[in-house]
Amino acid sequence: MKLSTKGTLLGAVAAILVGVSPAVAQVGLTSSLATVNINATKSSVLSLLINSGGTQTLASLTDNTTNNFASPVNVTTTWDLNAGSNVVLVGSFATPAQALASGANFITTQYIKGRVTTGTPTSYTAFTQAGVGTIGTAGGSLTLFTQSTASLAGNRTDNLDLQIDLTGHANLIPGTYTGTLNLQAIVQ
Amino acid sequence: MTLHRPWLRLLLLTALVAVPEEQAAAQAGTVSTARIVSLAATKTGKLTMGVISGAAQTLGTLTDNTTNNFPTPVVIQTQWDLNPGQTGSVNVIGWFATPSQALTNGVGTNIPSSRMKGMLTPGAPAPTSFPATFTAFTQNAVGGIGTAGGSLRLFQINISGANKTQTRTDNLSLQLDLTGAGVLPPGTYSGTLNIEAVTQ
Repeated sequence: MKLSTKGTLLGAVAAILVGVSPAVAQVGLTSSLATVNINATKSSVLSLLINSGGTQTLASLTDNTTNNFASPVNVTTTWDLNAGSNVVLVGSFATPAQALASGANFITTQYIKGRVTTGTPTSYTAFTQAGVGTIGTAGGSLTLFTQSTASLAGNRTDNLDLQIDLTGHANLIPGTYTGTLNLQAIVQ
Repeated sequence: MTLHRPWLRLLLLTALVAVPEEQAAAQAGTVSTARIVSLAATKTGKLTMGVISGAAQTLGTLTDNTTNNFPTPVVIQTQWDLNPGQTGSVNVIGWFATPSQALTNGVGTNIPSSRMKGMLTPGAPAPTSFPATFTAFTQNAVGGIGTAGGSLRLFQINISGANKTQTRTDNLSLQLDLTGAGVLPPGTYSGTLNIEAVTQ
């Protein structure tokens, strides 16, 4: 059998097409789409750290005058928030009538004062304020600073100076008067 | 007409018999026009991919300015049946639809795909290439799969006769790298990672 020139050409083209078309079909083959749902949560932060001065000692308490504790309570407050206007630091005594006690003898919060020169009470002020939000006690609290949270993340370090002001107080019965001052911050 | 001569009668009879025989001889070997029947049987290539486990990735505590690893990997199973003469490679791509908003808290703060990283712990045999260390989803699409600047090729395997048919399982670990990023507002950041396989 003799193939004409035309027939030979057609045969060659057909052979080429047969070889090429399946290759095109397998390149670009895709699977179905799978998805992975991702969730990552960053929690809000409001923390308080007493760097120093967690124990305050006054060795010699004198009647009818002011008695300053020797060194301040150094506090760092850190916040990282997504809402809120202010961070408020509050100091309070659980039982205002018994801020410090020596047996059955008490010193009330009226005679315990604090100040934060970088905060709100820049002069000594008694712990006789109301609580703030859910923290503090009525008549036994003191707002130490109110920090705007225009910047939702930040920190600040403050010194809280403490004083027992016995001015006008009847003479105390000698003894060691102890108590606990609570510090807590709240977002408002 | 009456045939009276016996020899004439014989001649006519011979002629009648001979004519049909000649026609039969002429039809034997006659061929029709050729007609063709096209036969085609196609076995299509197969390429499937699925997430066996880890389709929900949750990070309960996100920390600023450091790497945050998701605790469990995304387990991916890929299966194919291909013609090695017609397929160069199998590629699995992971990508985020909008690279600038890979994860979002829904109130305007987004985490871009440059902060999302993936690392593959491959099954056997090892792929031709894969991200052996945490690598950002900042690559371009592959073979039309993925998004520009929001993709990561999870593996590429060159196809040969030895691996033209294969089922393999690989582990994709995810990381949210906030190193050097600003402080994120607290909240839950959500997004969807797409994964798809393609041949090249």
